[in-house]
Amino acid sequence: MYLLKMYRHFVIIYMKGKLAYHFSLVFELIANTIQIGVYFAGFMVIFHNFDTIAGWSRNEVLFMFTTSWLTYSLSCFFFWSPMKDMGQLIRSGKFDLYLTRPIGPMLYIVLQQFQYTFIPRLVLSVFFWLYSMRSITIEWTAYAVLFYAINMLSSFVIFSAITIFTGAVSFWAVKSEEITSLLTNNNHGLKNYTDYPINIYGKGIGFLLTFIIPYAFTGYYPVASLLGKGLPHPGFAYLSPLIALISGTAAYLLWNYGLRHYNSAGA
Amino acid sequence: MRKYADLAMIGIKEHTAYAGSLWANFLAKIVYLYMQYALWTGLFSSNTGKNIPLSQDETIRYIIVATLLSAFMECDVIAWINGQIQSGDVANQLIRPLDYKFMIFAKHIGTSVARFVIYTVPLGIVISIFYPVRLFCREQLLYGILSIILAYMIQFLYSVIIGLMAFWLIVTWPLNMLLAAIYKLLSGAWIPAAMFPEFLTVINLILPFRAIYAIPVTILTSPMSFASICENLLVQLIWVAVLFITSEAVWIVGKNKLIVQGG
Amino acid sequence: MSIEVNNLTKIYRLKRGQKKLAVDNISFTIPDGEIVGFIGPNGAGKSTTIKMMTGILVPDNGSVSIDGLNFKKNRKEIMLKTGVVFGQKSVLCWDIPVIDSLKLFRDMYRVPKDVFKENMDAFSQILGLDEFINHPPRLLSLGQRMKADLAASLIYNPDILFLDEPTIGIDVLSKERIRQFIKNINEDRHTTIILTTHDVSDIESLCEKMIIIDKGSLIYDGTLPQLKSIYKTTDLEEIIKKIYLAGEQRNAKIC
Repeated sequence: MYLLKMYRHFVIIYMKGKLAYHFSLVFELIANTIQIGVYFAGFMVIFHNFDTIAGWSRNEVLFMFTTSWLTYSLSCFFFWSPMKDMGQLIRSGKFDLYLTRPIGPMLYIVLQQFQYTFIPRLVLSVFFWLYSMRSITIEWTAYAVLFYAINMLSSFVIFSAITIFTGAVSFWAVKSEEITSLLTNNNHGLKNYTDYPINIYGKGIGFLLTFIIPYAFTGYYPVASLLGKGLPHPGFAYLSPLIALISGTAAYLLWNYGLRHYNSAGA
Repeated sequence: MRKYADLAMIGIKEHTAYAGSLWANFLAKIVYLYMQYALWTGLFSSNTGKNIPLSQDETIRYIIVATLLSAFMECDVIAWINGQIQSGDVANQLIRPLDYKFMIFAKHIGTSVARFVIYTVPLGIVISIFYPVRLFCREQLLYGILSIILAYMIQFLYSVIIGLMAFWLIVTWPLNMLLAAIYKLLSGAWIPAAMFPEFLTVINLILPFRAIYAIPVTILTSPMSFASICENLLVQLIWVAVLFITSEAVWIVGKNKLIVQGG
Repeated sequence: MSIEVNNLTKIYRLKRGQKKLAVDNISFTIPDGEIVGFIGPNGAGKSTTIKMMTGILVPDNGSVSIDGLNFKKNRKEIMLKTGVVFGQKSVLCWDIPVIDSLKLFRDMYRVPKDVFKENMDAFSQILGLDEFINHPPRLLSLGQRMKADLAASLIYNPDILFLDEPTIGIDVLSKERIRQFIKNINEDRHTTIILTTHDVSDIESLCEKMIIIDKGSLIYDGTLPQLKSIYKTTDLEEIIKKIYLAGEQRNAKIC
């Protein structure tokens, strides 16, 4: 249909544009691969010295955060770049141009690109995900598979919602790049905390990661439940779809509210 | 000499231009520090009895001092030189009556001073409130400071070499990204070098990275024999010499290549 | 398509509770198929008004109606019939051949294949598209890029075309060709064209009507010959300077 046709156009255009700089593209992918690779290497180095953390074995922790990283990579593939550029798009006036098109601006900026630099993260996550899956003890009943799949879907929505939030803030001409980096950056921010079971942190952080910026639902709670780890609130493991619904709706509303504000107040 | 002092001031001013980002950076460091603290505490508490190269106290002290150090030692020289070349501004800089490398060094010192005041000192205050522990080995403090100075120079020289390679590579950011990741791990700024597996330690012996964080931080936080301290300082001195010579060589080669390309 | 603007008002809320009256109760009508020059000094409220006419900004008071349609209810419909060309920002995708951007717009605006071909042939002839159609905009000269932008914005036969500084920085020959092209489009397809420009010769050669805005108010709405007879001179540049100057003096008196 119309949207698929549009998307096909955009993808081909985007790839053509990027392949014109193919040398730099290859380099980007290599650099990203090494960067992510080093993170995994560091993780292995840490666990070279220790067997467990808070009752989780190395491979259990690995499984938990690669679960989260899989959906994160996919989400960022679509949403990371346009939301990151929102501030720039608005300041330069390019966003106005998108407003004159018959396709809504959100769709326009998302369809226009895909952030291929997340492919290394995706690939490495898949690799370590499979690697860790083989040595952890989860009984993969049909129910467990379904539970896990629904959680993956919810994670995708949660990550996308958070990313959209960070982009929507630009409608109020708030120079938010630094604070959002603090909350969402996958190298030095709050999001890093969820690479490890969150019960190693204080109650405050646990609360933050559960109710304010619900990263904990993307990996920790569902996997903890599957692995039979004792959760203080076992019910949390089943909340992911609800959290996805709430955050998705909130992001949608905020984006539209921001768009209306932009239409009214200008840049 | 005055002009270099001016450049140092510019380094300070540039860094303090955006107050908002300073706050965010500071918070980011606190966020990072807490995570490391929680991580290592969690690891140690779950694994009592295992033979671990550093004690829990030593490890926590290590990562705190490493973070305090990196707060001001962070080096943007590579990015700065790259930016200069992209914008063509490098041509302007080269015709000035200054030694290019020394000019960059002066700016870097300025930035480091600013960083020390803006990040390291407040960070130190926060740490002394929430984790009031003796961080340093008093007896080794002086050697530690000497080690920091040497480490600072090594880091700067290494950055200058990579940065100057941009004179003929034009675009080095993929190289930077590559090296930055490896650097983060091998320098000991993230994980104590004592925790490395055998093969990594061996590789690290032929690289300058551990001389930047692992050596100074260990001298400051772990009791060491005098011989050991001297050995480590010697390693640093050797790296300073090697990198200095390399930087001069790269400069000579690079300058020619740049002129040939027309700037 | 005609544009009707009624009592259009826009107030910008600045920091510290200050308000700036950017557009103050402007009303005018642009009849179907006319080329109108839209001018005013910098900061006059021109771009704010244009933004309200293209649906980018929502007015605080008053209304914009395009052929009886308004943005609130018929946004998509209006967008499908509106073309926009900015002098400084290209509407094309920067790194890929122009032809790919044209094909994208063809599908985005649902242009039938035969209409697309017809337009392509016509534009190629007048604008000389074949010369650069397979190159990406970043390799084109400013004149070529503007021609490509025009082609892209007209490929779907919009009823209204907004041109913002279309000849800025372009050499005299290309300027001539672009103006000729715009005139032809207007004659052949009855496209309503709103031209914002500081280039006086653009106005002279293209515009039948003029709308002059200054300090958010409508200063003049009428034909070019009429304006010249009022000021008793055919030197358009002089007339405009006088009008702007009068605006500054009025402002000086108030302050």
